[in-house]
Amino acid sequence: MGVAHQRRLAGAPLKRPALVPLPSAVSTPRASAWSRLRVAVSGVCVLSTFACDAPTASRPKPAFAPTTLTGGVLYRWESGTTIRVWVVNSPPSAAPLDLGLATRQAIERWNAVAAFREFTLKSATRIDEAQIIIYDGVAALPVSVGTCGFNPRGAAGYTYFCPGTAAVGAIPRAEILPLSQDGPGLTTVVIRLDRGRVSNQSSYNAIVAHEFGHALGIGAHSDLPTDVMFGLPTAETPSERDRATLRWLLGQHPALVL
Amino acid sequence: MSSEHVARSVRWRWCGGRNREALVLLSSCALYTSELSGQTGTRRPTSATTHRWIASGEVSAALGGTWLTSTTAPTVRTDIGVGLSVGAHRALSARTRGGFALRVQSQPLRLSEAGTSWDGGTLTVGDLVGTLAVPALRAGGIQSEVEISSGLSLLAGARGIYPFSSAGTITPVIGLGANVFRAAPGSGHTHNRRLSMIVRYDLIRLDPGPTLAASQDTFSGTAGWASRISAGLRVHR
Repeated sequence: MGVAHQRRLAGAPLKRPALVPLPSAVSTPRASAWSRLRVAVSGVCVLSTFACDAPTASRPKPAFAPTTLTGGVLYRWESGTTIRVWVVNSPPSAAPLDLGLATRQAIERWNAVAAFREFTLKSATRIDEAQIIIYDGVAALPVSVGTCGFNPRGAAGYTYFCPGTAAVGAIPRAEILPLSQDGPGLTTVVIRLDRGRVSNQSSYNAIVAHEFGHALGIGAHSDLPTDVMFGLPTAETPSERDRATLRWLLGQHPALVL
Repeated sequence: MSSEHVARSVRWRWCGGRNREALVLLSSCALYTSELSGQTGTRRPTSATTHRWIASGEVSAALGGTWLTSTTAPTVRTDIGVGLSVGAHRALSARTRGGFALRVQSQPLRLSEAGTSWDGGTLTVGDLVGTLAVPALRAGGIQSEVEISSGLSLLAGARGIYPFSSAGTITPVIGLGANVFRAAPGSGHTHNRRLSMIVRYDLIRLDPGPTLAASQDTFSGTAGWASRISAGLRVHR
């Protein structure tokens, strides 16, 4: 270091433009070095302070316990999953209730709840790529049910999935429900509607939205009628309470993956 | 100790680990600057280069970035992406040059929580910054500079993902870079044609907004500085 400075200082006047005075700092390189060191270290300190002040976030608390219907088992889709939904056409005589319309609305409204794209509901283009199949009871059951009992018990809406077995230490996954006609498929959840118990499209929309809440991981009913997850649903759009509950459970370790 | 204190403590410990590489980089810059700083002060730009605007273009790899940290929500990071930049600069004094740059960087977003990680789409950030560069070292025909930048970022894409969904679209950005190039013999550091390598550490302000705590279903969050590292090649003409 010292040798280098001497050599450069000795040679510097030869390279200097004749009429340009040197800054005073140049004549004291060691002082300049300390000055720059101080500036650089200050810069590093300031930036590192900012760097550790990263934005943070916390998930909301659930508005109601989301596992009361499942005996405490928290289930949900793997984070980041694109969930494809297939709507089974109802016979023409089943009009005027529109299951496709109700499903599209439910997909749009529940997708808005996933603030970190934990799931994305999308319409399937083929039944064999659908993870969720939704159908009305006027049509035939589109899958072979799993090892669990399939018992709609005359409900206006019914969401069905069946836990499969898993290796020791692994998280169980829901069974794939073989398609009745189109091969094995990817379906793990079936939603059944009963239009015979619904008076109008609005009620139909509310029930479809409610069943999608179950299909996404809310294994419970709310006790407020303003929530989509109320036991006798009339709301078509997830409430703050519905959203808080789903957003909370999307950050929990699942005991069952759909 | 409350759970909030525990979370904050965990975050700070984690934060120290996360930024280790960046701090090493910045410390290296500082030491590099100080080690041979006396060697750069003897040369002034010639009159031909002193007040001329020099254009520059840059292609860079955005090496990563951290946009949200949390113990109770996903961590939001960016993977390797690409960046393009154009700018201009001119000598401000014998030892400094200033200018501006327009940068665009596009990076895939990756979220992780509870042991899993998933794709979050693509984040595109445009920066309009002012720059100030000072020479740091000249040795063996290699010149280095430290470059400070400050300006505004435009966040685009990923608007469906928190915190981008709640943060403002235009937000402040500051950065520190190290620029290394081969100096032409006998020229000042502002000479007008060269290829240089640059490594830059940027901090972008993200404020999820005041409405967060207003309703029950939203995420409670704090504003902060998201970090981003990039490295690239720059050409000046």
